[in-house]
Amino acid sequence: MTVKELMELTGETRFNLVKILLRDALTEMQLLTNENVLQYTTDLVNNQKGYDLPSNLIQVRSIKVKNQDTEYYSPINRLVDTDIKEK
Amino acid sequence: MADSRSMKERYFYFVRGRQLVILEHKTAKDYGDTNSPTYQPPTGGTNTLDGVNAGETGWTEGLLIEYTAIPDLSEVLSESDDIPIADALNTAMVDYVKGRLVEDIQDFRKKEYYMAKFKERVAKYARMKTGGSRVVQGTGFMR
Repeated sequence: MTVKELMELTGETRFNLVKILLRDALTEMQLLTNENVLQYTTDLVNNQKGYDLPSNLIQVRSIKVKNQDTEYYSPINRLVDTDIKEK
Repeated sequence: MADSRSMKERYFYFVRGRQLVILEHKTAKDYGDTNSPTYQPPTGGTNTLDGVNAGETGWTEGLLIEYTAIPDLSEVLSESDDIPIADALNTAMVDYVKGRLVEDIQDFRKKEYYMAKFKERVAKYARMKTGGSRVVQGTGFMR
């Protein structure tokens, strides 16, 4: 479906308004369906524990670390109780 | 000596706000004094990193992050552009936009109607996406 078709079906003529509503609709749908799943790789830095997540993120689905011997990425577990000791 | 632990035995993570925190379980020889925790930031890595991590060492492309994201609308620039969405969700999209438009003119009864239709269609889509029977298969220890 094109934006023009959506505008005709809804009777709205303002393109920018429809685009904003479209973005809201896609976000709502994403929350309900988990349709748009993305992956990216980043460096695992020696002695660094915090890594920034992308701004368009809704939910982290899984984290994998590369096994340097096999070159495969293996999933790691999520810590449930995050009340950890820190310096 | 190379670390023979599996990735699952070695690392764990949690999400703190907009940051992912990765920690590594220490090995018995690294425990040190009894007050220190049994985990530490990830250690090791032989690669000299570049880009945003220039000057550091670690594992290049060592982390794979899978996440659900807000769809990108940067390529929707004109009325003739396609909406990046599954065809089966088109009617739900129309319901949502209609619902928001009648909300602006404070017709809340119609708004509730359209939003209910929107949620119903999206839920139906999510339910129908995977076919086959819907049963829970027990494992050996389930009674």
